[in-house]
Amino acid sequence: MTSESDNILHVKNLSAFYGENKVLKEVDMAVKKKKITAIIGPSGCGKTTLIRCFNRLFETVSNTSLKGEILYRKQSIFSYDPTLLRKEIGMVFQRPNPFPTMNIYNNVIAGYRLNGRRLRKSESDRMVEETLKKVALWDEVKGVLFRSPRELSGGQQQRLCIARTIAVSPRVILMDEPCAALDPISTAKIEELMLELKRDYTIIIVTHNMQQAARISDLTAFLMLGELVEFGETDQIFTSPKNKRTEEYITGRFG
Amino acid sequence: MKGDEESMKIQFDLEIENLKHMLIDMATAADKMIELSNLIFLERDYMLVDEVYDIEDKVNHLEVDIEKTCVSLIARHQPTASDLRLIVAVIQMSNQLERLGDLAVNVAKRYKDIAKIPPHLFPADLRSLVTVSSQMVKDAMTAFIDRDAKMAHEICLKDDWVDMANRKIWKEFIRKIVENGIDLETGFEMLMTSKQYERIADCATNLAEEVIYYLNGENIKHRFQEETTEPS
Repeated sequence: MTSESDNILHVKNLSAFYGENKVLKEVDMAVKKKKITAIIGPSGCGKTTLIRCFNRLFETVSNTSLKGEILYRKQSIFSYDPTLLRKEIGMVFQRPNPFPTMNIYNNVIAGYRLNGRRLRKSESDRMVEETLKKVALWDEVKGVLFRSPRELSGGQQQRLCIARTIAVSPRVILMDEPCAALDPISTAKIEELMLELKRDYTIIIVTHNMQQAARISDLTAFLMLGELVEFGETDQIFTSPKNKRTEEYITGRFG
Repeated sequence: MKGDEESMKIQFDLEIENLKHMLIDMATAADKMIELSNLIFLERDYMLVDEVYDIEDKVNHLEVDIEKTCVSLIARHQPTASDLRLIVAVIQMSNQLERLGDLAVNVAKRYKDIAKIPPHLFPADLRSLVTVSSQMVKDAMTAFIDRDAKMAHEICLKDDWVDMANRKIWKEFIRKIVENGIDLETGFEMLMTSKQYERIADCATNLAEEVIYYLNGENIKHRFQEETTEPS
């Protein structure tokens, strides 16, 4: 049995516009705490737009507007300072993007450095080690912490980006197709990592890979042409979807 | 890439259709076995016994082929939703059809003992039991072919009647064994034959439950509580 207190994000009647173009249409959904929610749908359906609304990145694009409400921990996201909100709701992008001018060590604590927060060496050492251990990267990079992240593989770089995100102790991690640029083995490692991380964080993942959504998520939202067609437990969505359009999409008969 | 995905989907659909045809072939064979066994049992047409055993071989081979096909489909295509439910249902249904074949053989092989019982001593409801159980199997496969969940539900409702009819037959025939001095071993074979038809109805119910699962995603096993319907 779930209750309102199980929800960390609540989207109410949300519509998003690029100029006159309505790209999200009255979306209603609740994101459960410490679960993995996957957002699936054909290209251009509004998946990335939706998650970029959660951390207020959407509004950084000119000529955009929103109607409706998004509540984070029961308060409107607009009542939060955007920088603080983005610390609480972190994001990992499709292509690994470690900061190229920083070494691996500094990438992990970049969230603190870029916000002018100075850490004692012992504090930052501990944080770097703990965080890299959380993303199962410590053993692989402990000998090269002060080298450039460009020397790492794609999968390692992506895990470094996840480490950077969790170093500032977010509650929610948004992942926009985090494995799209990775090989199958790196993908498997990231998926394994997500299953570990959900013990401590709420994860929302946009993915084109339906098998990935089926493998790792607890809940799945299916979007099409900006509309939330169906939202439910992943098991139910992939075995007995209620909506014909969901059935057609996940069986590959369209999209 | 899009062209490759489309042709994969068409290929998958063809393989699914092929799987359905395999199941229908298996059901046709099992149904034939039941039909022949009914004639052996009720009409004493003992020339048909060998044919029952011949068809059993085909049924058993089909079960193995169907299971192999299903596993291959799952491995290669990672099916979801109704495709997944179909494959799961087909595996279960093929198990039930193989079981039906075994039950038909169990009826047929008892012909020598049943031949010792005069027809006028056969229990009153026996023909109805045979007819209803056999028809339930046919109807379950019709429900599958026609994608008719309502029909499948109606089959499930008949199972309780079959159970009651079997119990009534047992009571009646045990009395006849005593009153008519029927040899106990022979009498037991009649009772067991009636039991086979009760199990045939159980298998038909299981088939119908799988059809409902395939069509609606609803698992109604072990909790079917509706009122008994006496078949017309």
